[in-house]
Amino acid sequence: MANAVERRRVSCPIYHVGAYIVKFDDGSHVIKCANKQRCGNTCPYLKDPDYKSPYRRAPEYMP
Amino acid sequence: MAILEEPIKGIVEVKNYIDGEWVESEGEIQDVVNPVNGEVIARVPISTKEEIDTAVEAAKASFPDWRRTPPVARARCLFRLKELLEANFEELSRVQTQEHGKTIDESRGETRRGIENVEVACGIPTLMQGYNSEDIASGIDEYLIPTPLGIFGIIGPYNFPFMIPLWSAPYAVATGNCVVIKPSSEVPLSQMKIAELVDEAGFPPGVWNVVNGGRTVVNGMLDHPDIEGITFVGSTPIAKDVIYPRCGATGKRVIAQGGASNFMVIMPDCNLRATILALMTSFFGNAGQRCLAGQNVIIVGDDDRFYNEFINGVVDTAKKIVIGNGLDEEVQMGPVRDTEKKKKILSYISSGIEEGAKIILDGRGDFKIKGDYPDTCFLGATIMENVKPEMKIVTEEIFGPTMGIIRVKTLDEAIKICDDNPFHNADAIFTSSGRTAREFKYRVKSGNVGINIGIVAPMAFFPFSGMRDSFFGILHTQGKEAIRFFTESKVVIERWP
Repeated sequence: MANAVERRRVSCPIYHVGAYIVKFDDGSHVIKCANKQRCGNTCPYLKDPDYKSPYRRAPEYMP
Repeated sequence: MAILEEPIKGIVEVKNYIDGEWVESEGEIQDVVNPVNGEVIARVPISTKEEIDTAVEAAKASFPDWRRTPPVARARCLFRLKELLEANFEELSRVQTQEHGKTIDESRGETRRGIENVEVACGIPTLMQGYNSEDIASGIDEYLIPTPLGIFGIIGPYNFPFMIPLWSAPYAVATGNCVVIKPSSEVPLSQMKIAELVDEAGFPPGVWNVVNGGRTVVNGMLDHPDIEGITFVGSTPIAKDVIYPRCGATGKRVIAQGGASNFMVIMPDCNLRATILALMTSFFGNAGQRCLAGQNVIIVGDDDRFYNEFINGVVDTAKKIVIGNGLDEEVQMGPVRDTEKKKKILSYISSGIEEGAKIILDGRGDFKIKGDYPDTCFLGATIMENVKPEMKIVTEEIFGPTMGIIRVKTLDEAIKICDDNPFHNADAIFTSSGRTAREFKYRVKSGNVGINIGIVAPMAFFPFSGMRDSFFGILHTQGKEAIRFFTESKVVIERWP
């Protein structure tokens, strides 16, 4: 049985709800989200647990 | 990246929603224009006095039954509405972008905040409970019952067409009242979509009505003897000189939320990167058309190195904002709502320059639009330094993507500038010192106070506050205060000899 190696909270950019991504040591991952049923296969984190919205809330700034 | 599909295709003929029916208006028709490309997407009626009277009659007829409906059953209608709003989340968000111009991310955020108010109102069986005292005297009990009043008018602004009427309407109907909503005639489509879902959710006819229009509808609401109260969000002159006094004269309850000129106080010990990112959304999000938007920054201290680093960081970051069609997910700032509003913003920038402010980023022409769109309603981010507290760009509300920079030596001076301003909607401080933050929070006279927060937007279970020229009334929209506003306290004293 695979062990969880990372548990990360994300703010879904599509539905603006909080969700959790749990990554396992065999490379798989699961999404814990109250909206999971509604979004189904359209969830952007299904394919890519490290998904980032093309819209960023503000441009990057590196002092 | 591809532009998202537009949910509104062709031209929508907007109707009024009265007594559970979609009714054509006899009034004049006005075009609703998408500010991105100037296309007409809808035609909205400017309803007549008779039509607002019909809506109030329908609400009046529905009130006795709706008031007798148990709160738990009223909550079920709201639960169904919440589910329908979730199921249509993306479409509702895109409609906002199409009619208003804001980015899709801003629209999605607005949809979420609106739905949260419906969620909170779903708790009405407990939120509406009264309280009691047994044996206030021998054998006598006393208790308080919050009771609904009747019919409420809800007047919405153009900047948040979906969310702002939901600061009031779910609480009004949850407590057993009926509502007549007048959306802004510039952006009527979101409220039309909500009314379609209200209909599907199974609310009885007449409980939730939407009457489109302008001044005639507002006057009709203000003068109508059967309307018990009004909630209004809009400009300060209308809130202060029309809504508030007229409600007083006609004995109505009132929540009148006006404009703002908010300050972001920057201490030299702040986290510079996080602060700059927070300021970008505060000043330029929603193209600055937000009563919680920052309008001026106050930089405290005489550390020139910090000041220059801050200015360079802010200007460099603001320059990179991607401007264009809000349905393009890479776009970070859409257009302002229409040409009149753009003209007004430009006149404020000119007045700032005339009064001695120095432009360090000029959003009047020095910006690129992503995609092939006319620049009719677009503006870039404008940043001005050497701003003084007495300038018009500080004392009046600009409501556009501009940032003024004021420099002071001490926190006392910064707080004094905040307090001397006629508006007191939202002020924030950026610092890493808890002591400084507490001092600011304690002393500043502002309805919504932020500490390292750029947009001080209260959640649905807190009141949306505001003070002085930003708010006229006593109780506020959202949460427990809204429940108080929409109910009267009936006190019963009881003895059974």
